[in-house]
Amino acid sequence: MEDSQIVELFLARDENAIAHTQHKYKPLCLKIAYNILGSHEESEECVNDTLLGAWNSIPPNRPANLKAYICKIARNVSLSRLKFNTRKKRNSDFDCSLEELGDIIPDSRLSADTTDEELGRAIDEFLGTLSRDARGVFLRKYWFFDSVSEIADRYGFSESKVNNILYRTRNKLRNYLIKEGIYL
Amino acid sequence: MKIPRIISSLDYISDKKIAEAAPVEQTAKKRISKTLFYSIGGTCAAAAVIGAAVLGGGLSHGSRGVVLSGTSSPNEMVTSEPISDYISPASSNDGNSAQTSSTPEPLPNLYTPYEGGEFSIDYDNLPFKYIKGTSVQKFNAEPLIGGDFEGARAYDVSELIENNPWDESLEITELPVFLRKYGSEQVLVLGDEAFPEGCSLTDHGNGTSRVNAYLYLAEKYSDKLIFNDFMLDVFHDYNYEGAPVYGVKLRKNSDNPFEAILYYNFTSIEFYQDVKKGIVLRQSNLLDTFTAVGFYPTITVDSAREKLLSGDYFSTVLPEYLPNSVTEDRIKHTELVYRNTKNGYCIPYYRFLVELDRPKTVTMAEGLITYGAYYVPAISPEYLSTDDDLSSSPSAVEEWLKQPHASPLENLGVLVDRTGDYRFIPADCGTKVMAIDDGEVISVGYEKNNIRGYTVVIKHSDGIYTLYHHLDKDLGFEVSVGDTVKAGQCIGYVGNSGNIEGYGLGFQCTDEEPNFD
Repeated sequence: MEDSQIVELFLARDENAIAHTQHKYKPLCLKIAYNILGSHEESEECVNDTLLGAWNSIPPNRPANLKAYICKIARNVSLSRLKFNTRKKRNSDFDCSLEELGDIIPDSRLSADTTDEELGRAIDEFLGTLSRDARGVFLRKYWFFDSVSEIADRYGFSESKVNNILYRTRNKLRNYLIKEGIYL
Repeated sequence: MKIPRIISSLDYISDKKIAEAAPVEQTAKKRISKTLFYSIGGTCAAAAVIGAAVLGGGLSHGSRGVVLSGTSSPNEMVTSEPISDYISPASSNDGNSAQTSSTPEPLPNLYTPYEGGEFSIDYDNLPFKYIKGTSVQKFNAEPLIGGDFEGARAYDVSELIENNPWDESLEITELPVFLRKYGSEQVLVLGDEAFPEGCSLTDHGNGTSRVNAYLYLAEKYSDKLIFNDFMLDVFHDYNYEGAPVYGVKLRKNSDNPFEAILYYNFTSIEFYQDVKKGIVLRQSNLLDTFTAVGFYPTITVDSAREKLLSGDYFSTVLPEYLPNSVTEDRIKHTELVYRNTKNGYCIPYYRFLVELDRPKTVTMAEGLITYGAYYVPAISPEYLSTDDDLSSSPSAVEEWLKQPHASPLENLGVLVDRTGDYRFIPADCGTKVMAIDDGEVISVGYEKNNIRGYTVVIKHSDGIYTLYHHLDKDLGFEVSVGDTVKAGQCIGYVGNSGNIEGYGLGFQCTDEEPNFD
């Protein structure tokens, strides 16, 4: 079923919307949740939370891009679950992504005036200047938290090339943010 | 646990970018090597040669494979041995060997070398045009061996020894020299193909699946082949990570060693997988268009070897791989191949594989050895031109290159070429590429013919231009058009854009304004 039709079902409060979304996007949600949480059990729970989140937010929202919308919910649900997760067992790829990205802008050096949204918009603009593949590699690593080897497979690159792209992109992002006055 | 703000801020990335990058099931692109060797550029069209027959049999269907070399047509072969029998479903296991750095599983022995004994050249019935009385007296023997560094990698040279029907024991004393002519290659688009299990043209880690795919296609399209009496050449070397890379081609078969040598060099049927068009068949018999200008006496292997040791050879091996001259103990293999010369002929050369030092600019798997190709003309020297037209007056570019310059690559330390011709220097992805001298960037972009990839062109004083090819667009360029650069300044990073195998820098120097879009 087309995404637009599924959205129509949500808007009409038809519970089939849930079934269709689950059918189409469950593997994607599972992948995102597992990348962050490193647990199959918890990932399943996150899928349910994601579907519930979609049901509760459409309407009033009317997402133009359902796939991205679902991805965002899944990611947020997983990240907030992680915050409350006291268990030590975590996905090391995820930790490593956090560390790499945290190095670009340590929180302590972020201006309090800069909202997450402003920062996000700036990064979005920066990503717009990259090639499609470089942007994809960056987002797969830091948005979807895929491992380097998965990314290499997906784009047909060697792992060293992926690492190289990530390294250069992080440096460029740091410079871009300094230029934009966000890195203080 | 604490999540950096930058992670949560990524929630504001636009939907389009997220959806575009989102993981999609079943769409992973396989990494496809573009050519088998990092240099076959400029050689005879049919002479994709350094390959190695991975002899020794060993697979369950090895003995059947031998049938091929003696068979007269694929159809006949099919009736006696259904091709599906060759296709081993278990062959996908071979794919794992690509991950390890061990020697690959031996392929079926598809080649039976000539057993010696009498053979003769039937001068009245040659498989090519030969006009007596039009022979040329002297040839300038400089071969067109391309700008790339030609060589192969293996754990042992025996892996590179291929199906070349030439053998020293044949004691061949004369060979024809050809006047070259182009236009005999035939390209047919066969379209998408649903291969049976165990067949693949794109799985480089698995030689057996390539052989299977060739056998399958040769049977299916037997009416489209320009010759059906073929034999199958399998050759392989390794990429820098140590995974085997296979190539297969079909050539016309003959029991007569003289004819077999010609067919080996001048006939070829290849199938390849084009991303857009599906399976493409490319076939040629250059003997149909070449004209022999005479039979010329050949020198012995021993005298060719002496010439090699005394420095009288042609090679594209970079000086950093072999700082001193070729020594006896480094010569690991000798064969005879035809190569095009720079002035329009195609003459036989002895080709020596010489063991080289480990490369400095690129990481190579432990135990792998690089062998470089060195050529000595096989024609007796009295027929080779002694005039030094080409080197008597150095061009403006050569004069300019004689002056001190910076290295074009991080870690390389030297300027690799003194002629300005295109040179390919293998290097790790992401290695810094540097301007060799002060100048102005006049072009940054993709070469329109899709061969040299992303290229930066720098204009220097005195109307000299340097070109840096195959750069990586994702790692980006450090300069843009109009920038002034200093010698040694980083301009970009090594990639593999364009039509090349592996990563490296293509470097070129010219005094003509390059025409890049």
